[in-house]
Amino acid sequence: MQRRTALKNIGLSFGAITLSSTVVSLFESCQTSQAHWTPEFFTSEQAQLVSKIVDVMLPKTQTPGAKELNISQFMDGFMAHVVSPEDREFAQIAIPVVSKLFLEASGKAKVTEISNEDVDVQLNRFLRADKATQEARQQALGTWSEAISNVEASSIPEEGVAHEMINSLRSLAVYAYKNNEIIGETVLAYAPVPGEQKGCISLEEATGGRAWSL
Amino acid sequence: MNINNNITEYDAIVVGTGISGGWAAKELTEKGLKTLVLERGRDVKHIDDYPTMNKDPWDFPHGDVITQETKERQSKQSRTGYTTRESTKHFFVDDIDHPYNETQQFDWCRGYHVGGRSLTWGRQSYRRGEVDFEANAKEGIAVDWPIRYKEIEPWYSYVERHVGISGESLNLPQLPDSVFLKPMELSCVEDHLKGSIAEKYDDRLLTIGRVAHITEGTKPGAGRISCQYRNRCSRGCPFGGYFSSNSSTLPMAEATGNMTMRANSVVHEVLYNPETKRATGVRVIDAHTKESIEFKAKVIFLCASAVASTAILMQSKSAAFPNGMGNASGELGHNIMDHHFQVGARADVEGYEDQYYKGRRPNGVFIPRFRNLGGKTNQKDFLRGYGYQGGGGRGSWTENVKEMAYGSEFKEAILNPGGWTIGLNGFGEVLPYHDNKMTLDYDKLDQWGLPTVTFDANLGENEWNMRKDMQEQAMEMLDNAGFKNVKGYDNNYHLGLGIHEMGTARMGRDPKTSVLNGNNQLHEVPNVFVTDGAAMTSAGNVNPSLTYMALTARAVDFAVKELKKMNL
Repeated sequence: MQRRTALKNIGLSFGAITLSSTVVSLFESCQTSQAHWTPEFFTSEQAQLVSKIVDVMLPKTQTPGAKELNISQFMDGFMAHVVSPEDREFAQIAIPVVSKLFLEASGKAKVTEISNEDVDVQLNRFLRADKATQEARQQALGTWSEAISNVEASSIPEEGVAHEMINSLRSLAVYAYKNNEIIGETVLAYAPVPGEQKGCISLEEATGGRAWSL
Repeated sequence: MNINNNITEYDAIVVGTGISGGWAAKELTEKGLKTLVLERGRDVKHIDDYPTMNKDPWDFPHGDVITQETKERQSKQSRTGYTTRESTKHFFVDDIDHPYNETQQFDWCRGYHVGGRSLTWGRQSYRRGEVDFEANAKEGIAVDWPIRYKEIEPWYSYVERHVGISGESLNLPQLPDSVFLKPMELSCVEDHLKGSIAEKYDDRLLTIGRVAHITEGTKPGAGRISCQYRNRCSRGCPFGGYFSSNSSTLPMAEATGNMTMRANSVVHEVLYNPETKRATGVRVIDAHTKESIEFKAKVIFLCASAVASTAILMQSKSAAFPNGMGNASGELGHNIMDHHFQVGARADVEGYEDQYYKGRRPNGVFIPRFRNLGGKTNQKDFLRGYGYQGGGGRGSWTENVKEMAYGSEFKEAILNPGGWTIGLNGFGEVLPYHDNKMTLDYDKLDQWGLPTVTFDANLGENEWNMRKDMQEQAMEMLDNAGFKNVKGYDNNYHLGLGIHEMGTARMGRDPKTSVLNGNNQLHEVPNVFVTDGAAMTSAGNVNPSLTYMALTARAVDFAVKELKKMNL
């Protein structure tokens, strides 16, 4: 029953995180040591994979990258405590699929051996797929979800499931990043007590170009 | 159960400390009455008890969103999707500790603590117009209001001068102007929409929301100063920038030396003396010790919120009132109303890339009612009307950014403001239907052995028809403004979600068909007043708190004069 709901809701609840805008703000104190942490939701191998993925999504440039901000640790806590049981269940099906496809494509035996270049190739395959491929994946996902809700046997459409999961991981990573203390206070325009309200002014005058953090 | 025989006598008792209770406490104590103020929940002191008021999202373990664990405890309180967050959840009840029943889904969102929902309210503040007071009589709906605009008008002014209402004067008969502080500013795209509406329509206009925030100067209370535009209102405001009981009316009542505040006191009965035909006091259960205590007073103000005040009257049974105090009409608990919403439209706005704003404006835009105001505004499919609340701002990451997919360019782009979006959400009047009701379930008792409330209410055809128009007009206005990807919506709305429950002890001229008279006095027990949402004879389409404040101040003025004349 639960699985059926989970599959019916594919993309929906995760999508809500993406779309419900600035209201959703997520971040764990970045004082946590980034070297060693015990994941609550992911297995340690999955945590490593997610960590590699988000570091390629949000690499270090002049501004900090996902790795140094421990974005994956926050995501793990968020998955463990905030997302719905249905979404958690979907992730438990989907993350092993992502892992499997990444290993197959890169010809590596273990997640620890996957390089940033391998991740880049895979993210390109999923997030930059042409429209027709994306639609085909979406369709396969829909057919599968319907089959499951009719309690029919159906094999998992791996590309579709992986695509959905990677999209969701990106949404979560972006919001985690934008609501990180370092990003929120030193990179984005931070005004905890604005003290005045101006409705329509130039971007230059308002923040000099960056988005407001709060 | 222990009975405390050390009965204490007061001049007045106020039940509840929210918007209405705070006003009753302030007015009664300032007029010299020794007043006991009873609150069922815990104490909340201004500033001291706002633990999250200065927290940033990264100060919470998972950001300012609720965990599944919280959601399990507050499953009904969380139905709005915005009320319960890590930063605000402590101002909403625990649904497991405070159960209620739903024959049909009814979203009853509330907080049990000193200040009640005056801490977490939406702060939108509008006067009702004459059209709202006349509508029932003109259309033959329910019963007539026993008062007209001119009777409440001076009391609106009186409370507004104290509260501080920011807004723009428009001189509209259906939405009379308040005593205003300077308005907040529109964003660039809101201003665009305002211009387009002015150009394309002669029956409607867009203005900035009218909101209970100080925008210039100060207001009395616990040191209230101008809004700092943090938009963290429902956590409690250390600046007292918006009006709450905690920052304003309660500290002023306290300063008179006439107020005794007792928190953790669950009032469940108004006591009655059949010989004098007067209420004599209230019976309370101490929320912690479960001790039963009686307090006596000459006059009683029920300000516990519509549902709670009604439930207290229903439980106040005696030989004189077998069906609950003041319920000879049989209307007690009936005619429950709310404002129906979550229907409207949203759109993307092209351009304005070089424009932004400063300050987190705790307010939106407002399009006042424009339907059924006479002549060509009259509709054949529904009575009454609706207004829109909404706003336009810049989002975070947009479709364009999505196409960058990932990597350093993508990361750079998400740190910049996203595209502009705009939305209009309708808020419509719900008619008073006798069949929409709350009752008490004596088989399902709460932890104090008191009956739980059961709701059985739904929208009628008038509201469903109105919703179609609400969506269509919102889409049309956004289309006419040249905005892109205009999308209409009608989300799943159930009564209560507007958190404007009202009407369950309505005012009226005839004791046979109403519970309260034109002074918010029980027809049958002249020293009991109900001045919260229960009193409303019709809902109108505007946010109701300002009207509760005005009705409360007016009723206290009347009650004290009557006391002096020895009429109570």
